[in-house]
Amino acid sequence: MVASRVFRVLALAAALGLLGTCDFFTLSTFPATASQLAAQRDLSAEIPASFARTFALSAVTAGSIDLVFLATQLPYDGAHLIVMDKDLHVLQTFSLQDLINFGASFSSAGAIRGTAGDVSIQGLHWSVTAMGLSSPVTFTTSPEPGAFCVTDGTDNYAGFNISGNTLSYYGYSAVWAVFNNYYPYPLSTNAAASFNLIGAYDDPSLADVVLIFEENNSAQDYCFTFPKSQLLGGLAFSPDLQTNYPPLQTYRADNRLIAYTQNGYIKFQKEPNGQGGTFIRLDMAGNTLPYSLRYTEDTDIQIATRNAGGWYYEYNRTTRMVRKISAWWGR
Amino acid sequence: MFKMHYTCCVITAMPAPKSIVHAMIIFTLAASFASAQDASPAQESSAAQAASSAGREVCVFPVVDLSASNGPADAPAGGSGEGADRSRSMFSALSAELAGARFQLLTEDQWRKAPGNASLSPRDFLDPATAVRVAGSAGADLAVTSFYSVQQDRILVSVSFYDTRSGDFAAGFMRTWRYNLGVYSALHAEIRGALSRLDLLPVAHSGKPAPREVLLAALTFTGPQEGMEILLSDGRSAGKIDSGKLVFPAAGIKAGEPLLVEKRLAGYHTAWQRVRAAPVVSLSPLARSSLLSIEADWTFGQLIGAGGAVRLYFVPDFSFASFSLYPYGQAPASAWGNWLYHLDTEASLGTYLFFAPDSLVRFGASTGIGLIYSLLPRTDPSSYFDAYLNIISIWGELNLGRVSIFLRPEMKMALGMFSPNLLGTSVLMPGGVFAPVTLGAIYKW
Repeated sequence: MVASRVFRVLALAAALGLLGTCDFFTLSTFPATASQLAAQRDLSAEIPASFARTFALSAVTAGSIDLVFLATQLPYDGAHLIVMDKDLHVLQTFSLQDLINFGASFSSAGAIRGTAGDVSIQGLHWSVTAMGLSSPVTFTTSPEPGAFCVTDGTDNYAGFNISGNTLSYYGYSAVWAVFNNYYPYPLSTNAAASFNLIGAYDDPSLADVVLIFEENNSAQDYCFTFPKSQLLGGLAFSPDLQTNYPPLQTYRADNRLIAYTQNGYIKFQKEPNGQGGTFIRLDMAGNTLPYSLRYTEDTDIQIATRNAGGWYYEYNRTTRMVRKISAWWGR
Repeated sequence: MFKMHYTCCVITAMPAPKSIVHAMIIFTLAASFASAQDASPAQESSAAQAASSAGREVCVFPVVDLSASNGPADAPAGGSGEGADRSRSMFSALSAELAGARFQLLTEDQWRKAPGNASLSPRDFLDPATAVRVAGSAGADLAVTSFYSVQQDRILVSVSFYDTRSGDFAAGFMRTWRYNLGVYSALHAEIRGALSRLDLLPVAHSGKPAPREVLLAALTFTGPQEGMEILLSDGRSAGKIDSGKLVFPAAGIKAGEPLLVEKRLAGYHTAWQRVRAAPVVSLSPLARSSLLSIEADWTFGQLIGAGGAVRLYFVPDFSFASFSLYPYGQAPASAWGNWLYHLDTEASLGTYLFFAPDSLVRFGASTGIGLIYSLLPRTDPSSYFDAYLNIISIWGELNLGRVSIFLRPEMKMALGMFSPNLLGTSVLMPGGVFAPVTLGAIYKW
């Protein structure tokens, strides 16, 4: 009898509590991300269904121009590179023979450069206008392009590669001439450690270059910051990097969804039941800020952030939709 | 054998206390013995006995204490002290067992109110003729008398049941036990045994005829709906309700005979009703037959808005096509987000399950297709179209006449067949976890 009354009181309290929360009234059939949606494009005309097994998305800012690059690897049909403007209008589509490892693109003074597997896309051949790109685009072979590149704003570039515990990088000139030597550095004193490079970011407002790694043998992501001047100036780093350049360590993001943007990071945490997840916001020191965005939809996505924030992009491999998402942590 | 002892009892059961005791002892012993000769078959099923006694009225007279030093201790009202407690306990045992056998016990006030009964003392009822007369005058079917006597450490208990219609001794017992707490257990068992034997006394043995059948000259059907036609189970029309009633000449119908009548009225659902033949037969109203209803609803997951629907029934109040509209808003997920506006439209087919249109509770299921138009004013593009399949919606409904309240969980799947869309191909779940549930009301035209 008493237990029954207690149960009824608790049930009523729970019901009122649920009703009292905003969530009860604001829960929607539509994903919460829809309210942050700035633009959306269906790329099913450009990308054949079910073939886009590998893809990479990157966003580039060149002065006042923002471009979005989506590279897809089609197992039986080569690779495609789709170039879009900041509002996701398709500007140009390129077919490539292969796309082993598409990397971030970068820019300076009206030129845009990027890497795509074995080739580099030379900015010298691109003429960027406010509305798009002019053809033709040519590709030239790059000796060791690396997956990710950053620039110092003077048309010098750095490309990074990681192999096990060893980080290496090249310095390139504007015409992809290597002007710095190859520098291999151990990331950790643990020789058995094995890292993957998730992203490299060169925010002009920062003195450092940001590199984000995941470690294969632990549930940690590592966010390193290296002095930009040292990196591109050909100055040696002090090994090991983890000791001398202590990174921010954070519990591993799900689906590799962690990225630098606007003096902080966004990081994805999947729900335990697998139904979506939540992006949270971290500052540069790793503090979790009171901003988040719940994803209830399919999270088979990759994101590409802008250094300046304001928005970011996501591409869903399942739906072949590319979307521009307004920054939910503020502008 | 039985008759002989009974006669003996009548002759000897005269007012003097000593002679009453002796007469009762002789009578009860004899009657118990006689009953015992016939008892064993009746003990097979006390349930059958209970069924046969259901609703029959019984008059339980006070338990009389005939102990040598007895005072005014006759139950239920008499005295105080050990004798009174004992009498009350025995009376309670009798009452409980009779009630358990589904007899209806008359109170003392009921059987005392007949003229001449008020002045009788408890001992007067030990006279079987008096007991039968008093109980009969109160309308009881059974009279129960009892007494006991305590001598040193032993107790003698006698209980007798009389059929008031025949005046016959119906069952009883007289037992002696060592007087301790076990007496009451034994007493209950003896009473139950006697009651089971009571079933062995068929009314027919008393020579009385079975109740006479009552044949009705006419049935008067009453109902609240004018013009309602009544048809008998053989298809004959008995006529229509006029001014609230229909008199049907039904000579030969036995009172109490079960009848199945069909009720018809234009604009209402035909219904069948089981009734028993009686001078006046009250009929329940028919449920209105609706071909159109409107619906107002509120759906979890779309709470910043509300919807409405029109139902067109192709089987009245049963199967229908429905067309619905549901505009609602969606709040921004952050301070830097934007409002969304949706318009959900759906066409569906539904049907009720299991229960008739006039049932208080009804269940139904529906399926359909829908399209949600979404307007995102600050997005490029700003219009989105999500087609979906309502795989199945199952609802429970509280049917309150022209208005019903329903609760309807829905299973919907976005098809992703138009571009641009927001949902792709996915199951619609508010918050990604819950199924949409609609609370609504229906008004039947």
